[in-house]
Amino acid sequence: MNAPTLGNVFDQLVEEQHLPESDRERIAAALAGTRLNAPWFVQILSVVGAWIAAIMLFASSSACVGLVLGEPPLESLIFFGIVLCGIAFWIKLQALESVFFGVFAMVIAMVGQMLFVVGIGISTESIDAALGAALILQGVFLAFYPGRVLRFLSWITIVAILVYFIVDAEFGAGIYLLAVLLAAVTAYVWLRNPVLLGEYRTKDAIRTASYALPLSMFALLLIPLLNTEFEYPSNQASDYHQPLIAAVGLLFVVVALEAVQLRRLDIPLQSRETLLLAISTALVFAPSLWTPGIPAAVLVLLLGYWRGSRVLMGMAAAFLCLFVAQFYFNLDTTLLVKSYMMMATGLVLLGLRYVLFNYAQL
Amino acid sequence: MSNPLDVRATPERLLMLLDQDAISAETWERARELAGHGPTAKAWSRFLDRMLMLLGAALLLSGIVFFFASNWDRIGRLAEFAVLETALLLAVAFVAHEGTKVLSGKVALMGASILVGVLLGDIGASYNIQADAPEFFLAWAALITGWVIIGEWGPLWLLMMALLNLTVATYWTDSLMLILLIGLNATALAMWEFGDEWQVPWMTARWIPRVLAVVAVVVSVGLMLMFILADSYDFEQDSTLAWAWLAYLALTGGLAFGYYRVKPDLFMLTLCCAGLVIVSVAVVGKLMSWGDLEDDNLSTVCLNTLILGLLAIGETAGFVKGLMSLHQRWESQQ
Repeated sequence: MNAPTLGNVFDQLVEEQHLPESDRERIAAALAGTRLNAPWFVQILSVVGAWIAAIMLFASSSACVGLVLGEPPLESLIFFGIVLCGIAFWIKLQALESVFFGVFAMVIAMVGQMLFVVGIGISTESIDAALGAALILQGVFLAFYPGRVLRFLSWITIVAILVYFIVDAEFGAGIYLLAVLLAAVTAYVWLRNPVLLGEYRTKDAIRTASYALPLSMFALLLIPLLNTEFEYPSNQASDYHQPLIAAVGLLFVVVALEAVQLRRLDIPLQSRETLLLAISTALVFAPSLWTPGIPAAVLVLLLGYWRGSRVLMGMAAAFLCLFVAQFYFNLDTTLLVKSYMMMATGLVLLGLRYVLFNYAQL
Repeated sequence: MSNPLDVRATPERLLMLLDQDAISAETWERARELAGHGPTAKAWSRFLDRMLMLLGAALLLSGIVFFFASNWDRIGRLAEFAVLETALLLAVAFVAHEGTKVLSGKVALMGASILVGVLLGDIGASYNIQADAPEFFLAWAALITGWVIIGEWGPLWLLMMALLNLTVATYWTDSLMLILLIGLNATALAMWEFGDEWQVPWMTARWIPRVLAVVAVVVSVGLMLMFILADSYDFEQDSTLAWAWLAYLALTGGLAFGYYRVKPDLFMLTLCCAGLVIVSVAVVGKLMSWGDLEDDNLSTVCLNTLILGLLAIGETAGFVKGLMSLHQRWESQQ
């Protein structure tokens, strides 16, 4: 069967009275004059190019400041940074549709941000002050800058700064709590996607958050693999239970999402299907109590499938592979015990699938 | 002029209409369902089926690999082989029962292919043969070739490619290894595209050629950067490095021509553009001798980095603009 065209879909919508007949022409006109959004990989290209340019221009502008002012007063870096950020806003607002000026403004904004943050850092001799200033600056860009790529980077930077503060405070559980928070916000954003995207004010921030937040969450959950501070085993029971807290939090988010789906599909909560789904969820989560990345990836996979986002599903699948590998490093048990756990869970999941689809007729 | 509504109702197009306030949130939700993008109860059930199967198989296989990686010495060598061979036989028996046309059969065949590697690794560990030797990867690849052919499944094919890449990476060294890796992945990519062109049913997935292209381009850009940054001593030590530029240009030119003229694919062209931005900045930087950064000559640093920054901006903007106009043109032709 051929895939339906927009015409087929709108015919049906008119028939179901979801859309007045007169709107068809308006939609056709809107579609004819539309400039398509850049695909995700083209946006990555612009980020790669902008980063290379920003690093070069940062070096250039720092050297220029030194050249013009000799021993520059440190405030000049801050001042120069603010001026560049302002110029970036101005260029972007003046030439919203221009690709060249879009990339140019993005690079100028990046250089401005770097100069501003470095200036604050050097003049106060405090990393905390510099990152605090960076946090405020990113908030301003997120709220007002009319460019999606830079807003996406702002989300990532904000999460990275929060992680720094958590690590600096040696609050290990904070990483996992932040991951649960990001998971909950991601689920909410995708759940309310159509309404939030329909709002002019929230449109760009939400569009970028819907990909930046899950990506940040995955990066966050990989930290225990990279940073020895979060490695296991630990002598402190509280440290050992930190990933457990995250897994339980993520389980709640997944269960909430499943409940929404069941309601959407008119399946009662007391039904056999609900019971089977609950058992499946518990079994999928069982092996991952100390590797919360696995439920996080499952959550994003479910969201991606529901909303038909191949990018989100691809991201989740790639990180799922990484998290299964992470299992190798985690857990205060021997490799042998881990292997038993994984084999047992794998067999249970395959057995469950067999029972669900051969006997329970799901 | 053709009717703009006579195009496929993809999730991206529907989202674009919502984005432009052309339709309301409720209409968008219903439109997605009508276009087949809002999963029904049946679709969710199929998704759950696949997820349980893939996750279960992945965990089971990982568990088996961990078990043998732990070098458990409480069971004897013969018992280890017996356990592995039994698992292998069970997987093959399952494939024979289910066939290779269904996903469960393909997953079992993938499991069997990985178990062959575990068995070889265990034999290697038992008889003190290096597990990271090229012979190990080559033998593994050779033993599963038949299954890869009858499996007719992209991921199995990728496993084969990973093993061949590892064989090359562990046998050769220096730039020759990188050139061979480029050639290997480019050949595999061409084979896949011919398969797609000849409408081989299992060779239609687009993510496989993209993975191959990413590997080839990343390796070629790395090789090209080695070539640009090398000095005369490096060329004396590694004579093949002199051919790096040819390998890079042949790959980039081939990809650009093939995916612009023969089989339009914006992802592949974007990949080439990203490589070009990195390489061109490195070339111009080298020509301007950015070693001056080490000197105290602030004006040279200021000027050189300014030129490089502007070059990167110009190239990126030019490529993005060109790619977007191609995207617009190709989408309107669909």
